[in-house]
Amino acid sequence: MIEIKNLSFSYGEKRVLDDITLSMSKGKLHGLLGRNGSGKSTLFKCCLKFLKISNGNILISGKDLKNISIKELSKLIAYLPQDHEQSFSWKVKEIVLMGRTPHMKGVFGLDKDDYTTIYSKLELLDILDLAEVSFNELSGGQKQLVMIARALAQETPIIFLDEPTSALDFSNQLMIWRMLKRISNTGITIVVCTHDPNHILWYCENVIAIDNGKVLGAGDTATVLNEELLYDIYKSRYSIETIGDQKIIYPGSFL
Amino acid sequence: MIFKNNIRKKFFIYFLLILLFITVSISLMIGSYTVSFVDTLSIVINKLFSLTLSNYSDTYEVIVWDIRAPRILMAVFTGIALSIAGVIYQSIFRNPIVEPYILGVSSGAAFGASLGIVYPFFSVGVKLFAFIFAMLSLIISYSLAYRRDKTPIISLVLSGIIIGSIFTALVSILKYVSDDTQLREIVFWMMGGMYYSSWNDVLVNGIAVMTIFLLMWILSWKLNILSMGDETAKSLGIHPELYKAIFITSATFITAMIVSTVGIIAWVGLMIPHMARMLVGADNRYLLPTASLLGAVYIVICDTLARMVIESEIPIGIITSIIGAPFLLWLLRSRSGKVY
Repeated sequence: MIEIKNLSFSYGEKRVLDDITLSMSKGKLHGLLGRNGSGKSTLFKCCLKFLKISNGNILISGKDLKNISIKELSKLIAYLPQDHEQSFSWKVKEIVLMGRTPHMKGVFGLDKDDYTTIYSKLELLDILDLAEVSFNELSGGQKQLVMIARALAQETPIIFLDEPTSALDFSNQLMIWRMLKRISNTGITIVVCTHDPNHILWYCENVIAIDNGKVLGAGDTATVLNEELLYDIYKSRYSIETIGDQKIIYPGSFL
Repeated sequence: MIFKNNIRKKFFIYFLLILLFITVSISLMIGSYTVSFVDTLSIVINKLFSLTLSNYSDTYEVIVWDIRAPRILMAVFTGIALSIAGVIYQSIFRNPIVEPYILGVSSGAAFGASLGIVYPFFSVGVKLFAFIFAMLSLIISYSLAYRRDKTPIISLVLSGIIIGSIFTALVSILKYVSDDTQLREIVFWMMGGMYYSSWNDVLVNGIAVMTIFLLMWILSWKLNILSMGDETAKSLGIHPELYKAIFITSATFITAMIVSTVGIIAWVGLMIPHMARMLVGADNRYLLPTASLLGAVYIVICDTLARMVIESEIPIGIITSIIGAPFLLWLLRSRSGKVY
């Protein structure tokens, strides 16, 4: 689905991504792990054409990103930024409707089918009752669900999410991850950038670990995400224990 | 459910259209001389369709058609232009308290006009000078803020403030060197007013404002997307730099046109978009026509007040500031952070 070959990117003199080669397969939930400033967001931004890549290639569904226009790309990848505070009082349904932009036809472009699509996505995420509510009045978890609904309304085969649970409470974090798992089961490829390795361990089939712009490890979570990899990422010791039938990562020392 | 809501928004637009028609009609009738409804109607119909409904005195014709009509229509276009410029700036800058003069456009225009007043031998005229310097200040602000394919909002606002203060200082120099008559003219021009408006002004400004309005309305969904930020816009297939340039240039162009004709009329671009959002919400497809009509009604009322409150006329800029500044205070205090 996504193939990255020898990708490098620099901000001026500073090399942020260094010869990255990766592949992300279709219909899976991929977790992107790394410390602050490791290059995770830059990798996202290169795949979304927010940044011009200096070296290497990115192939989306077999097509070179250089030959994909922004308009075409918006039908392939939906993106949820970390920050989505709104300056104006938008209604939930209006925010979700924006996801239909890549499919717009004509001058004002949105027809009854677009409304039908957004209502079905709101229903899928169990937030149909929020359609007429002002986005700014929602809780953090609800806002994130609305943004996911917008990404679904875009009807792309791939969704990128940048730290979707970073500002949420514990139960909302798990609720969002369960939802992402459900969506990936419908055949959509999801790539999530996160700071919690437990979330990757619990929900992602694949993990990609990045540090200093290089890939430390990538592949099946059960085999790749181990204590050595965690040490390589965070430069301190972490243990993976099994409680019942559930694995959990915890720090080697709490002091 | 969806369509019922949109009907409500359309209702506001039609209601405002009727309200504008009524406001303009009343404004044509009243002033230091009151002209009856029948006479006003006869004059307008006679002028537009060469049909004679009733006989009226020539003085009334001069008052209604030559004096009041052009200034009222100029007020309509001023309201439309400043309101859509406000809507556009607020959406693009993602800041609900931005107003059209942020890019230093008004200061540039003020300097150009003052230059034309103090040095009339340049002979190109006050309006053209104002227009040239308004566009110049936009170009300087924009190019100062432009870095590597990007124009970060904060850089743009800062360079706007810098350019604005330079031109304000230059205006002060001109005021210092001007004689008493010129100084009076500069001060009056800067306070804004429709009193010099001619049919020619109405035609030129009307065509410009309505063309830009239509273009902006056609692109209004893209304005919605741009107000979500550059990255979101790009991920939804909209080129942020291209459309930001189109929107900002269009908004500044009509602001400069209007400022160069009627002077500086403050606060409208801030107040009207907010009131319109209270009626129809943030969706620019409805917001643009609503704010335009509301702005037109507001400026026509303010201009009518300007020529009626006291015996001699007071500049409209004073009235819009007296109403507008407390409005912002009310907005900030009473809505406790809930921004429209």
